[in-house]
Formats: sequence, C-alpha cells, structure tokens
Amino acid sequence: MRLESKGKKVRLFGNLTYKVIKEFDRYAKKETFNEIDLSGAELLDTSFIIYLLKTNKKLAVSEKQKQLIDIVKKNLKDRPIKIKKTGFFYDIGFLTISKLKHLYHFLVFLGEVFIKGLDLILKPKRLRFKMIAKDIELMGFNAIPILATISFLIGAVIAYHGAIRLKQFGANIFVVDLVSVSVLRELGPLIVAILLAGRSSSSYTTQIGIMKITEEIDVIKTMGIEPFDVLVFPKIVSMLISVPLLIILADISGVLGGIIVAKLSLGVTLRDFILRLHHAIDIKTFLAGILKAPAFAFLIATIGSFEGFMTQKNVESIGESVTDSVVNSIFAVIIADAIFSILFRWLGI
Amino acid sequence: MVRNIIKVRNLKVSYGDRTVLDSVNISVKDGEIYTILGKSGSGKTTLMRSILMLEKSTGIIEVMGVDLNKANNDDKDLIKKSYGVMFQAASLFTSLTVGENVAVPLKEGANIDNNIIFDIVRFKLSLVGLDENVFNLYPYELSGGMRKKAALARALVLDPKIIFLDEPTSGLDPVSADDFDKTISELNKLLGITVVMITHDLDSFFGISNRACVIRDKKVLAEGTPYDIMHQDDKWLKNLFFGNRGRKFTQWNQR
Repeated sequence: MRLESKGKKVRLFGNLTYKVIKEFDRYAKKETFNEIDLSGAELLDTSFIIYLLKTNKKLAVSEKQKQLIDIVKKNLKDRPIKIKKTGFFYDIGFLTISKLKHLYHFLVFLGEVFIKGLDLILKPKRLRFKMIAKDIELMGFNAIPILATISFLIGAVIAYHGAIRLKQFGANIFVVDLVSVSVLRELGPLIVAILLAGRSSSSYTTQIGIMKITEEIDVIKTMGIEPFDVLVFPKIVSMLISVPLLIILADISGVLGGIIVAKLSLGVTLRDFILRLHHAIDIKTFLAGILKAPAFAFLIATIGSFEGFMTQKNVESIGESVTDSVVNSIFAVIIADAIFSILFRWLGI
Repeated sequence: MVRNIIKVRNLKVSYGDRTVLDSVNISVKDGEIYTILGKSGSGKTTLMRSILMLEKSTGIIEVMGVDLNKANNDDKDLIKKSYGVMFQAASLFTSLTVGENVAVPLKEGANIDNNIIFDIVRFKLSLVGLDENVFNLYPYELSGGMRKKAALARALVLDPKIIFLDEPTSGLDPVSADDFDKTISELNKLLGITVVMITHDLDSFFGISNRACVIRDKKVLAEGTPYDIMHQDDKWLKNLFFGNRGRKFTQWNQR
C-alpha cells in the first residue's frame, strides 16, 4: 500500500487488502482527511471496503470498484448482534451448577445401570460374551506387564525403606510383615485400581464419546439394540473379572519385590521369608484387599462409560470428557478405598 | 485470450505402488467455473488435493504462474492465502462457533481490530445467504446445508482468487442445492472468483459450470464445455447423461 496526501484528500495505491487495514487505521487516526481516493488501487478486497465504509469518509472510486462496494453495501447490516459477556460470580455459579448437574446425571446413569442390569440378569443371554472376552484381553491381560513391573517396584521400595529402620532394631525378619501386609491389604488393590482408572476408563470414555459424535450410538438404538448391552455391561463384567485377578498378580509381584530386597539388603532367605509369611498374614489380610475389587471395578467401568455418554458433539468435549473420566475415577477409587478402611476396622477384618 | 490460472501438466500421484493419477493435464482459466467429473474413486479428490498441496505428486502444477512442485515455502504460502477451500464434510471446527470459524483465517492472517473482523464475518455470512443468528451457534446446531454455507463463508473470508469445492451440493435437498449453485455462480460473477469444483450433481454441471474435465482410469478422458463432455464417446459418460438420472438433461441438449 502507498499513500499520497493532498489537503483533505488521501489517494491510495497498491494492494488494499485485509493485511493493510491496521496500517491504514493507524494513519487514519493520526491525520485528518475527509475523502479517500481508491481509483489508483491495483487490488481492493471486501475486508478493506468494509473497514472503509465504517470510517464514514467520502470515497472516490472507479466504476469497477463501485460495483464491488455496492455488493458489500447490500450485504452489510447496521444492527449489531449481541455477544454474551459473563461476570466472575456468574462463572462461579455456572460452574457449581454444572458440576452438580454432572453428579445428578451420574446418579441417573447409575440408576439406569441398576435397572437395566436387573433386566439383564433375568435374560442373561443378552450378555455379549465375545465382547467381554475381548475387553478382558485389552484391559486386563494387556495390562499385566506394566502392572507386574509397578507392583514389583513398589514392594521392593517398601522393603528397602523398611530395611534401614528394621536393621537398627535387629528386627530384620519383620520386613516380611511390613511388605506383605501393606501390599496385600492396601497397595496392591490401589495400584491396580489407579492403573486401570488411567488406562481403561480413559479408553472407555474415548470409545463411547466418539461413537456419540459419529452418531453410532443412535444407529445402535435404531437397530433395536440396547446401547448399554453393547457398551456398558461388557465393560462392567470385564472389569469385575479382571480387577480381582490383577490384584492377585499385584500381590504376588509386590511380595516378590519384597523377597528380593529382603535377601539382598537384610539377608533374609527365601525359606525364612515364606515361614514368616505364614505368621504375618492370613486369609483375612488377603480378603481385605480382594474384597475391594468389585467396588473398584464397578466404579472404573461406570465412570468411564458415563463420561463417554456425557460427551458433547464437538472435538474439544472429548478431551474434557477423558480428563474428567480419569480424574473422577481415580478420585472415586481413593474415596472408596478410604470407606473400605473404616468399614473393615468396624468389622474387625 | 484469458490466461490459465491453474495449469496441470503430466501430474502423477501414487500411494506406494498404487498409481492414482497418471499424466493428468488440465487447464483452468481465470474467472471460470470449472468442474471435475468422474466416478467415485477415480481420483478427482486426489487431483484437487494435489493442487491444494496436500498430496505429494510429480509433474507440473502451475498456479498463477508458480510451479508448486518447485516453489519455495514463501511462494507456497502466498498461493495458499489466495485459496479458499470447502471440503466435502464442511469440516468446520466443532469447538468454535460459526462466527469464530469464519474469523479464523482473518485472525491468523493479519492484525485487525475485533469489531472490524466482526463486520467482515457478518458480511461474508450474509454473502453466502446465512442468517445473522447463526453467528453464535456451534456447527452441530446447524443443518447440513447451513454447515456447507458456513464453510463456504470461511473459504471466502480472505477474498480468495480461487475457491475449491469438493462436492458442494452432496447431501443437500434439491432446493438447497439450487440455492447453493446460485450462490456460487453469483460469487463467481460478482467477485470474479475462479471456482474449481468436484461434483456428481448434473444440475450443477449443466447449470453453472463453464468448463469441465472428466477423470477416468487415472487419466483425463476429456476436457471442455459441458456440451463437449456430453458428446464424448464413453460408456460411463453415456450412462451418466442418458441413464435414469441424466434423462432430463437430454432436453438441455436439444435447446
């Protein structure tokens, strides 16, 4: 863009496009003039015309430019449309209400799962065994390597930290109690639950969320298939089967980590370890861990599916749902674990 | 003589071993509406995608005198800024409102005050025949036809030299399709925009296009006016024009 100023008149040359609006605007704010001559311009785009029309200055134009300006004038409306603006307190209120609504929807979802679940128990043939098997493979079996590694390391780390203190008292053998009780009662189940909350619930949410966006869920409904039969119950059943098995694996692998550290840094032999293990734990210790499994499994599967169903029809919403799904399921699992701890203490397990 | 705004010579595109287009030659003249016809899967979209620089190809693709396969990135960027594209599925950004969608190229391209952007966006929406009320709506709240129009408005926002439309009227009812054709034809006349479109819609083909090419078996079978194309000796074309769906256009032929 080039400029030529003559008294109250400005002549513009070159390419007058959206790119030079800012440049000309700066000039226009500085100088006073009341006529703009465009006839020398090589290129004039509609964006620039809109800007010029808004300045309310007299325009000198060529015949061809006039046609273009007329088109713009014809389509340009003066009445402004309102853009909604919200205040700070409105935002807080809105957020609170939407969180409460979210919780409400989750309770509704749980109710649906319960009622449709009863229905399913009456007609167990509707249960999709193939889907359950596939899900167990993906979510249970494929999680074995990472789970075994994590719980092994946790077991080893606990034994290692305990070892330093226990050595001071000469109570080396109690490393067995330390490792086995903490892993079996608390850490094993919790590691499984947190790992699956990250691994499985996010995957469930994405699957259902995208199916909702692409209207696949509506297709399922129109085929007369109950979406919960295909999308929710196989996941719940698969988790109910996988979680206890994975907890057993985590228990074994965690204790194994303890055994190795006990041998290396405390000199407790495998034989001593196993003998002490019989005194340290009994079936109650194991049950205290494994009894949490159904609750964890149910929470992970339902929260994962629920967040999927809550996904809106836009791409950003998928990201939000997955975040919600992982955060909420980990939160729920830890709350559940706390409740179990209190419950077991009352019951004396 | 009108200059060629797009000139494709010996274009070859292959995915691995599979050749999709082979020695394709087409010329699009400045200011015309050019249609690419062809069977599903014949490589029409690939041809368009190569011109849009979304596909790796060999040969010459000259747009406004710049060979895209030899040009540096700055030249390519300039060419891209002069393109407006509307994909088949409209492909609006689902997390932005219609107004924000249309404003994206403006906000990326230049530093302009928001209220001017606002006016430009409203003008473009009005230009493609969309009501102002859609400004604050999200794409999923729109019907298919409105979504296509919004995508067209987004393609038009920088006053492109060339707009590419991939099946603009597919999925629209005949009235909306007519309406859409009219909009395209008006924009072409009013703003002098060159239009390159892929379509199966014979109404668009006979109604608004000036020239066309037919892609068949990876090659260009014919190029010329709709009348020329219609009288090509090819089985698929005969089926297209004189089959059940094309019958009504035989009248057009006699006119």
